[in-house]
Amino acid sequence: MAARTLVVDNGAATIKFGFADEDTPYRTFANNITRSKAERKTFVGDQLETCKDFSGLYYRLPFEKGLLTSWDVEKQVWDRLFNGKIVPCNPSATTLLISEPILNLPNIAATYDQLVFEEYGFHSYTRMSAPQMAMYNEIPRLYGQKMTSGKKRVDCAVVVDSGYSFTHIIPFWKGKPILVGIRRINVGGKLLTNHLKEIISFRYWNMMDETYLVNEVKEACCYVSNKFWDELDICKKSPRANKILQHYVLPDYSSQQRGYVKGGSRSRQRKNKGKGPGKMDLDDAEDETNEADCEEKAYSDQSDGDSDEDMSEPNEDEQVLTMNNERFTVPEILFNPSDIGMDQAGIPEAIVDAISSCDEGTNFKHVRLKIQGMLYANVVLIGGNARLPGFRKRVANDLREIAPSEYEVRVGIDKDPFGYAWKGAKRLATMEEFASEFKNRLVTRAEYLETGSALCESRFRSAV
Amino acid sequence: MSRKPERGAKAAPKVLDPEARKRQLRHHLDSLERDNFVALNEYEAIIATAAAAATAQGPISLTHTNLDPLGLLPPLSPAVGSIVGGVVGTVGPGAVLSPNNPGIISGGRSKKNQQNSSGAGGANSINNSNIGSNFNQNAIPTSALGHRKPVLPRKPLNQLLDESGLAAQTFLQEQQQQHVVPNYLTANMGPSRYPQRNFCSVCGWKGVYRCNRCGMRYCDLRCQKTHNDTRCMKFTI
Repeated sequence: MAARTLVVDNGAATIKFGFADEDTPYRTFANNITRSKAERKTFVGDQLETCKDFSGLYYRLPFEKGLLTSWDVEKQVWDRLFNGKIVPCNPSATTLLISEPILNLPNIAATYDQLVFEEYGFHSYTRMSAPQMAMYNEIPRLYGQKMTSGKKRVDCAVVVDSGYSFTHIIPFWKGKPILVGIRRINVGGKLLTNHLKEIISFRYWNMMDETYLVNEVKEACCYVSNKFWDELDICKKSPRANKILQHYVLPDYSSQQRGYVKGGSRSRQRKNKGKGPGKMDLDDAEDETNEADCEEKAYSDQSDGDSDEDMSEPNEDEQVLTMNNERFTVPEILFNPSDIGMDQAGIPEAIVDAISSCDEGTNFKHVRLKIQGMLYANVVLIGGNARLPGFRKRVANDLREIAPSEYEVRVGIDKDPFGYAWKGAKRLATMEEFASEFKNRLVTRAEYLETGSALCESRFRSAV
Repeated sequence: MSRKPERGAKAAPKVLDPEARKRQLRHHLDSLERDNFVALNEYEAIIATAAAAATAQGPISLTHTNLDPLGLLPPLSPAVGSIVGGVVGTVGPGAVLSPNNPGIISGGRSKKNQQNSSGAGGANSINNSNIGSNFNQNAIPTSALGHRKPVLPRKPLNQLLDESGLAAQTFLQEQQQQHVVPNYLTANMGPSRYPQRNFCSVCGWKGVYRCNRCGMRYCDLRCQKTHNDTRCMKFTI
């Protein structure tokens, strides 16, 4: 009875999925239903790849504030995924490994169970949060070390998952999350995009309807600055001295589908990129998270434009969006939500708060100080927002400033933080060292029909 | 763009007090959470967000004057009489206003307005029969394998949060001084130790000065002029 395992990272913005036994990388598409006013068509999930005109896209998201509330939307997307239209998936012979939001509400969790078993009829399944999936990776590799031989998993780590809806900080001990230490900051990719939309609409062009386009602009131009006030002063200078200023050429959906940054290395990438939005361009992500010269990258996009043929195009034909201090003040909200008036602390402070609360549980009294040191030394960044250039360096610097001086602070990030959780889940499903753990987590359909979702709840929470 | 309110030869200088500014801020932050974020200066969108807020609290009778205490909005036309609020957070530009009950904005549980508001794409159909569990258990045959569609009511997040009973659970545990089991509500991060940094609302540089009337920040005289010309008191609620 060889049930294949389908690994699905069900995020609020995108779904990452793939079969665990295949060697191909995961695939991704948007987890929503979009309606294009221009084409008068509705696209469910991955059908967005067939869309020609992205202006005025109206979104219907199944997730609200990070929790799955709109099941009719989600079901339509899942229908396409699970009923074999995208991958050859036969639910009754498949084991499903799906992700849920951290600290999911119990009534929502029960609905997951119901849909999976009663509607699609999967053979067995398990549910875990994305950071838990990420813990199954070889985390010491992020710091240039190898896993200690004999151990299959690090003892403890702090995972910072910065995604579309919010950002979570979760300390882990021996694979299980330390519940008292979980912190949530309500800033995510959605808020950054909306804020950017608002700023652009005030200052340049009215783009309030163009969620998709502003998302692209954010991913192309924004970066995290390490010298915030200095860079803000630079932005005040004249365009010749201002290396931060970038021009983003907006697409006019007749001749050109994608916008690009004028005169930068990215413009060459974008021009060659004929793929649709659903596929993940791994090279692009690798490029952007290249740690060594993230700052130079922020400036170089402007300076090496002289030899590029983009600069010789006449300016009247194109609509150009000027990105000045918005490039780094928008991601700054992740580090200081008070910038827009939100009464929450930013990521570095939240990490310190989370770790220092980890000595209060009774389990940790005897390792009181030591665990905090271990947690500071194993910080992992995952999620879509971690792809911003300069993110890791900024978190490491800020954390070093406020963490107690006796602890060593190490912050690690994978080349592809977006799919790191999926990769961890794939390791869980395939590697032999985790086989018994995986088996213990699974709930089969027969068991569910007998006992109900209380069994799922208890098994998923207690299993490691 | 926004419809300018009718004004006399000289607009009466109205100043927003701190309470109104806080309300404005909260509104702004809530709006940033929306999926299809449209600017607040759209008149219908203002009403739509007010209606969306009303769903959490049940039926409220909001007359025109309640909505607009400062008298800044133009008088309601009959077509813009009422909105059936049903869905928190995803009211888009196509929010439909039913003309039958002018001046009443009802929450999702109200029995008065049964018309569905069809936003763009038919998104926001109200389902008033979803008492109890998320699924109507009797409606699904046990052998369903995608052949019969189960009833999938769509509940707003606030309702789901209430039903999960987490707020009550946390409260009880605190009261009895037991160990509070961490959940979605308790995991929320608290305020920062550091003071807020202020940015100019026009250009984004350091916002040192504040407008006397509406409280938004600006950095120099040029930005102040831009602010007064275009934005002062235009987006208040």
